[in-house]
Formats: sequence, structure tokens, C-alpha cells
Amino acid sequence: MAWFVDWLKKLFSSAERRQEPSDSVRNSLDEQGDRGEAVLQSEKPERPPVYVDRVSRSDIIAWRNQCLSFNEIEVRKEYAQLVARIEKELETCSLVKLGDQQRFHKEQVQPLINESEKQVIVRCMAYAEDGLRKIPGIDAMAFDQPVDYEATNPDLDAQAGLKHGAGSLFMMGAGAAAVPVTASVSTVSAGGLMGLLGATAVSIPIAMTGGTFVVLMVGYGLFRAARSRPVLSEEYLDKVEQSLRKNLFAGRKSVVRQLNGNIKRVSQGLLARARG
Amino acid sequence: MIGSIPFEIPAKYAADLASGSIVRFGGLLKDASTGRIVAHLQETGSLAQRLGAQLLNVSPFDGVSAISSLAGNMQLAKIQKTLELLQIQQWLTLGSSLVGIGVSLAGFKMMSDRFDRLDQRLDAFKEHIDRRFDELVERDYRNHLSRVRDLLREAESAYTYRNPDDRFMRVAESLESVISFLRSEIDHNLGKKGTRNEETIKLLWSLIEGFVTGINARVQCLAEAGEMTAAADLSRREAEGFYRFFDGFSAVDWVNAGIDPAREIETSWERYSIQLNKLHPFENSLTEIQSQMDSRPYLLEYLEQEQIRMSDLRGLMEQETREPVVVLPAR
Repeated sequence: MAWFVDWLKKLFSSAERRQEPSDSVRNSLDEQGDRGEAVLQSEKPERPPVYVDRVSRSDIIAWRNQCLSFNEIEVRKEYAQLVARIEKELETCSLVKLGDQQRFHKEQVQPLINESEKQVIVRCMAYAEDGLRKIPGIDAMAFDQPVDYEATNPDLDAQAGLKHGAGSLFMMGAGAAAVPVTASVSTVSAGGLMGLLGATAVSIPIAMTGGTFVVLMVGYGLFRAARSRPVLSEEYLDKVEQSLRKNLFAGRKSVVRQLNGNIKRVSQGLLARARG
Repeated sequence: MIGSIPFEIPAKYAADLASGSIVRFGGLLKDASTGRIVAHLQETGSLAQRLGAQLLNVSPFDGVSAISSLAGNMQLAKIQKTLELLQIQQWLTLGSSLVGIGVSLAGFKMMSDRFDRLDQRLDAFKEHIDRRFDELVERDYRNHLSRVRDLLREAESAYTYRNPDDRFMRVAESLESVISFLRSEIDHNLGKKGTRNEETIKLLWSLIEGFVTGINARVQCLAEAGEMTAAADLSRREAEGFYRFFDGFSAVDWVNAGIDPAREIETSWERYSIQLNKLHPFENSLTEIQSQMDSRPYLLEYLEQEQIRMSDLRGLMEQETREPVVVLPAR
């Protein structure tokens, strides 16, 4: 909860800042007063503007586009690595384990998927935050004009993200299996960018449901089962790959759609304010 | 100092640009910590002569090697160095008459040459996307491009008149309808569903080239006629219109929207990267155009404030043969 208290403090302190001009703004105003120049045309239309926003629109757009590309590539890299890891698990698992796919999936594969998806989300968010920090003037904008996180993220599991804090992985109970969310990764910007990237919750869609698994019937026969192993492995891998593609980048609520949705919302908020 | 206007050379700002305390935004330099406009950039006749004509055929889709060989030209070494100092990497793919640092000195002649090239490219589009690009559309495109070319030639000839203002104003007004046509075509092509191949994006780029050149010419005409406030106002409105079109454009969305629903989504990150990399120069060029359009009103307002006439500015810039870009410090 410490981070949440910290966040609230920053939020209130930024609200106070908005009531009084910040040091940089005050200095700017003093400087303009000294030189008889105006920021806004409406104040003194006879003088051209001598100040533009510290944050350039082009920097925000470039940041957004870099993040979108990074996310799409990164989840595909993760997909390839994950499939290779699952193939390895299949090669080394016993026939008995493979015979109960649901159990095998739950115990051997699902933890791999969860960890992998969590890692890719954290990596993408870290990349976004790092890029955002490098935009000249963005730190001041983050404090002066925080984005209303909840208002800009209506379709995300924001409360889960806020509730469980930075970097936490929240596993829901078995009863939630029907809900297309089993976990939620929440990354929270540390420091001055809190108001911009905020607490970003990305839900991890459920990988596979129980009905899709094959369970070898008792009495199926060890010999026949052994012969079926390649078929079983292939069928299982096909299902997992399909599911992973949907969850990572092909589905409407895929990880990459959620990540890119966050980036677009933040960039839209910033573009609405930046000029020059 | 060039003439009575206190221009400086970009090298003076090299240290601040390198440290990041000053950043370039389109055609202006600004203080990174306060946003104060430090200076306006202005292209010279040297840049227009040496770079402009050679870049008429270079587009964001040309290979890196083609652009590198162009940049390797000894004559362009100085230009390249200055543009790199100003962090204008995208310049080589944009062409000087397309964007123009500050108020373009590329001239109406070069702008009309660009329309000639666009006309020639229509043949290539016709071959590749004939189903979409039927004869009626083609004829409409050619008519509009031809109209722009005529207007630009009229503007070019205005310089020979003793009182050219009326002619510049007439061209500025006539350009509006052609710009509107290109605007609606861009809108249509951006929103078009279905497969998006390399040719469709090249067609879009050509429309954008025509659109931006038309806007630049219109702004230039107003400025030449001494209507600086109107030129700045028009420039600002067109920049805002450009946001509406292209703020949301990203290579990723374009690639994803172009994926054939009947086929599986691309799973290989290598193949997906190749598709994205083809579009990144286009994406970057759009951002640079936006910045240039966005920053131009500030220069026009500054010129009006300082009572610097376009003809005086142009005369001075055309005389400058050593520096490709000069800096006009804000006061």
C-alpha cells in the first residue's frame, strides 16, 4: 500500500502545483514580464508567441509509434520462445503425464505461460516508460497535468492493478475460469511519470479452458497410448499455439492490444495538450 | 550577419543541440527546459540549388543505399553535416520542396517539377492497382495535378511583374479547391479497408506530397503578397488539419489493418519486422512534415513582427552560397 499512499501524495502535490505556477512557469512569466513579451497571442496580439510547449508533439508521436512497434515485435518474440519451451516440456514429459493433458497443462505449461506473459508485459511497459522519460519536458507535464487514469482506461481491470500494486501478479481463484482473465500484471511508474503511464493493468487472458484437453481413458492401453504420443503432442501443441496467438497478439483482448491501447490513450492525452 | 538581418550559422548552436538543452522542432530551435523559441531556421539558396533537384525523385520508400549514395556526393557533404547537426535525418527522404525549412526557397518552379513527377508516377500505380484505380479516378487525379502545375507556373511568372501581389493572391485562392480535392482523397485512402500493399501506400504518399506542396505554395503566395498574418493563419489551420489526418497514423495499425482476414495473422517477428520497416520511413516522414507545418506560423509571425518582407528575405537567402541553413535568432 505504500506506493498507493505515495501516489496520492504526488497527486495532491500536483494539484497544488496547478493552483500556483511552478518555478519554471514563474520564471518564464518573470522573464516575459522583463522583456515585455507575451506567451499568448490573445493577451498581446501585436507580439508573436515566443514560447511553445516544452513537449513536442512530434516526440510524443515518435514515442507512441516506437512503443507500438516494440510491443508487436516483442510479443511475437516471446511467442516463439514460449512455443520452443513448451515443445521441450512435451519432449521430456512422461507418457502418463501427457495422458492427462489438463493436469499436464495446469502443472507444467500454464506456469510457463503466466511467467512469460508477465515478463513480456513488464518489458513492454518498462520500454514505454523509459522512452517517455527521454522526451524533453515530459517530467514537468507529468506533475503539472496528470492524466485521469481511470477515466482513460475504462475497459481495463484498473482496480485489480491498483489493488495489487507494482509488479504483482494476481491469480484469481478457480471459480474465475470462465472469465477470460486469470491474472493481471500491473506496472506502476515510479517517480515523476506517475500521472502519465499511471498504474497500468494488463490482464492476461486465460490460456486454455478444461474442455479443450484430451484425457486418456482408463484401459486405453499403454501400447496404443505410446503409439499415439506424437499425435497427442501435436494436437496439444496446436491447441496451445492457437490459444497463445489469440492471447498474445491476435485476439481482441490480447496482451498486445491492451498494451497498445494503453500507449494510444496516454499519447492521445498528451497530444491534446502539447503544441510546439 | 547577412545584410541587415542578423542571421547566424547553425554551428553556433552545436554544443547546445548536442547536450539537448536546445532541441529542434520543425523549423525552429527551442529551449528544452522552458519551451522558449530560441531561433528560427531558414533554408538558403545553396540548399535549394544543391539538394532540391536531386531529391525530387527520392521518396521514403527508396532503399537506404540509394539515399546513402546521394548523401555520399561530395557536394552534399556540407549540407549533410549541417542537417545532421540540426537532427534532420529525415530530410534526405523528404526533398526540400516538399517540406522546406522555414519559408521555402525551393521556388514555384521546383514545386511544379514535383507535380510533373507525380503525374509520371500515376502510370506505375495504374499498373499495380488497376482495380481500385479506374480510368475515371485517374483522369480526375491528372486533371487536378495539371491544374496545380499551371497555378505554380503562374506563381513563378509573377516574379517578373512589377506588381505581382494580385497574381500571388489569385494563385493562392485557386489552389484552395485543388488542396480540398487532395485532402478528401487522402481521407478516402486512409480509411479504405482491405489489403494494403506497397503500391497503395506509395499512392497515398504521392497524394500527401501533392497536398503538402499545394499548401506550401499557397502559404508562400500569401507571404509573397505581403499577407503574413493570413499566411500564418492558413499555415496554422492546415497544420491542425494535418493533425486530424495523421496524428493517429502508425505503421503498426497500417500493417494490422492490411492483414487479409482470410489468412492467419503474422506470427513470425522477423516477417512482421520486415513489414513494419517498410513503413517506418513513411511514418517518420509524416511526423517531420507535421513538425515543419506546425512550426512555420511562428516564423511567419516573427517575420511580420520584425517587418521583414518576403522579397528581402528571399533576396538575402538566395545570395547565401556557403551555408545551406542559417539561423534567425528570436529576440
